[in-house]
Amino acid sequence: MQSIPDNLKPPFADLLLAIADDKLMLGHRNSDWTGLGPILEEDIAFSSLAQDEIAHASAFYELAGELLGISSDDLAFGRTPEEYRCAAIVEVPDDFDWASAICRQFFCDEYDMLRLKRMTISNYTPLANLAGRILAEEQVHIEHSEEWVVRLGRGTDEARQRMQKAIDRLAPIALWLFEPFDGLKSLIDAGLYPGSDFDMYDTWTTRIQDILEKAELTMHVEIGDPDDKGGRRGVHTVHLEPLLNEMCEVYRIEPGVAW
Amino acid sequence: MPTSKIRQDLPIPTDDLSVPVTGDLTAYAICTRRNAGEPMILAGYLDAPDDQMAMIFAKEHYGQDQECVEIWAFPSRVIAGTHADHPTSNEAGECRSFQTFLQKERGEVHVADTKVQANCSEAALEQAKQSIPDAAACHNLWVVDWKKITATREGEMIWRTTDQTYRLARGYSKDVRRKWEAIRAAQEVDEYQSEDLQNTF
Repeated sequence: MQSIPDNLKPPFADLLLAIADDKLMLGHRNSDWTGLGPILEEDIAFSSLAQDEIAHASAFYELAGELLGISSDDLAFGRTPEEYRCAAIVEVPDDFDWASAICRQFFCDEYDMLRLKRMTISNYTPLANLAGRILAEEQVHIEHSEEWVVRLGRGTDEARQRMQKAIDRLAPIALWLFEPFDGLKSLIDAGLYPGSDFDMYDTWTTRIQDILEKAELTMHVEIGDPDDKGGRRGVHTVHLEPLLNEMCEVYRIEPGVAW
Repeated sequence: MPTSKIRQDLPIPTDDLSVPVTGDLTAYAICTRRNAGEPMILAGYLDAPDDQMAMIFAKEHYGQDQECVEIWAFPSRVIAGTHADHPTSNEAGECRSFQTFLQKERGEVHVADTKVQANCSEAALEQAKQSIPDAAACHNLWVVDWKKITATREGEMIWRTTDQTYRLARGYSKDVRRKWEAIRAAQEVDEYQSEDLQNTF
């Protein structure tokens, strides 16, 4: 498919904005750690990976922008909070707790890997090509977060306790990543976003549990009511608005200007 | 310089760390190959808890500085060389491969050369001196047990293929500076005018 039929444009834009918004907020949150990482080497690595998330977001905003006729900067910084499609897990602050930052990254990386894999088999070639390129980079992210999870879980008592506390707090929030949005089924049926959300959830939990078992940590989650609305349908946590106020501060001085 | 708002509320621990600082990081030497067919060269050093984390750090530190197709990481302590800071050992083990590195002149980078076979680093260094034509004239010569080197797999992602220009500080030009100065000047005028109004009325 080389162009998107008009009736599929709104849900397809939501799909692109969901991944772009997730990655932008995650990159923004993680960039807070620049200069504050647990050790110098990780400080640099985590900052570099945060930049990656923002680059990935930018690429998806470009694609969404072409569809919607809006610039990527306006999509990233110029929307009202309810127009964002990010999930709650990337909105909540980590309170500068390293275990929370790693746990959040771990949940998101594993989810992104599966979401990107589905996108690589999309019949919309520009999406399949972009997802293929980003998927290779996502592997670097996964390696990083899985190695940290295992080391913190099998580290000192304090590291293990803090990591378990972070999992207990963030795992229920992470499930909002799977929130279905209006028109999702039509995208699946049209081959734009092939695959099943249920299979994806099973694969995600299995992978997470495998790594946590290696790390001697545990996770207990129960999927919520699919009718409950969250970030994918514009209902956000109280943390998004302050995040946007900070992130969009420069853009809002002179919207549309080329810096 | 004002800090980011989020940093104004940084939680600063007031109690002692419950885990003592034990200094459990190891120094690693990192080598990179810029392009296929070019030699591996010493890019620098970093500290890491183990081989896997050293490679993860190396990919972000040295792998993103300049485009490269391959990375090696090995603990600095496994280097044996002609200088006293990297002593050799004559403790014999099984015969194995040692990777050689040549530093031709003081201040130049170390460049990987051939491999030699030996049962200890002292014998490996002797072999390297005899078998490498430039060895005698070079400033420094290293041998590293090949099994101690962690290497990226062929085709493994290092250099990103998505747009990386956002990492460059190109935006911070004179033009941007002028715009900021104009914004700050306008803010100062606004503040002056609001103070003036307060004083007047």
